[in-house]
Amino acid sequence: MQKVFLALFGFISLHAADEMGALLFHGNCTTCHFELQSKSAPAMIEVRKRYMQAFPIKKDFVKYLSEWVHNPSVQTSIMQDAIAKYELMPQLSYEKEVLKDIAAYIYDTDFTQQHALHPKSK
Amino acid sequence: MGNIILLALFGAVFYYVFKSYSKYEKYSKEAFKDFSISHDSLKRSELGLFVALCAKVAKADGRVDALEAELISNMLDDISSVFPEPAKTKDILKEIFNEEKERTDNIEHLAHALSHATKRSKAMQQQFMQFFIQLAFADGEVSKSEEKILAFIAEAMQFDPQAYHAIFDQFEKMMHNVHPQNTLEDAYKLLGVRPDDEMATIKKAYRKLVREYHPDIIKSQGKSEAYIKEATAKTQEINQAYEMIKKARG
Repeated sequence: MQKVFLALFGFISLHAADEMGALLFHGNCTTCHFELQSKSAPAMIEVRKRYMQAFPIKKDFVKYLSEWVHNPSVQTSIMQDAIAKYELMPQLSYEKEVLKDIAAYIYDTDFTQQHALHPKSK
Repeated sequence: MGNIILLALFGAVFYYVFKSYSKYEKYSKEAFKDFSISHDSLKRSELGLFVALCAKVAKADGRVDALEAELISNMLDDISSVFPEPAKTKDILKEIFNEEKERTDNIEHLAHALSHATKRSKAMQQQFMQFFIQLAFADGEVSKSEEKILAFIAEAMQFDPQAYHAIFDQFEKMMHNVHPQNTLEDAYKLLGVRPDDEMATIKKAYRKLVREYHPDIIKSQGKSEAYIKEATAKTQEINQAYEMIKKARG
């Protein structure tokens, strides 16, 4: 019984974290990074694909992406071609914890499918 | 004996009158039981309009910060919970929020509609306005663009300017008076965590506390005017303790 409660609690808190990531992602990142189209910055599906290739494990993905956005630099970028095309992403002074939530959401979200805050794919 | 029956009868009548009156003041599952949920119907209801306007306030300064996101997430849960199908309702509310945060051309229209939908209850309008203002204060101070949007909403809702400024000043004063925890030790204590706990544990504790004490737009209906203010102050206190710990850990 206790295990069921623990699992349930885990699910609820996981769900809450995911939703926070969704709100933060859609409230901030999508201003420049559209989900499916590259305009003034690489599309989110592109960024996700590249990070997935480099960091297939969620923990690494979240750590590297959040640290890079916290302090963007040409030297540590895994998307040199994007920097050549769109320039280096500016430092936006988001908190590490916020960036971790967002990175976890990006890892978990297939932007070509229906997802939180975007039930209809656009 | 006859007196007692008469008294009971009076009691019953009063109870009935009070109960049906309170329906207009408070939200309850009962009030929404025949509400069929669709994107359109929800968007036209006062709660849908309220969510749409929250999106404008939240996005006014160009970014949605952590505490704002927490408050919005809780607000969506609170509102969904009064509808017969909370999960479905919440998905639609999220859609409305997401659509509305992208545009600024329909603020006046939405504010008019909200004003019209709530014209029967000044108290409700007051609570909604308080919520918009507290959302703008969530990140510590109100930016010029946030202030502009708030004033614009208030005007379009034909909200009494004096009442608007009174709420605004109250929050401003309150934000000055929420003092940061004296020491890091106090901050840990307030969140109910230990200094050697992991950041993930602390974040979880923080979220749980915000959820417990956040200003609840549904519960606030019918409560005293001080309710949102007190809930906001408590939320700020929790947030400052969390900020302090985050800073200390670098």
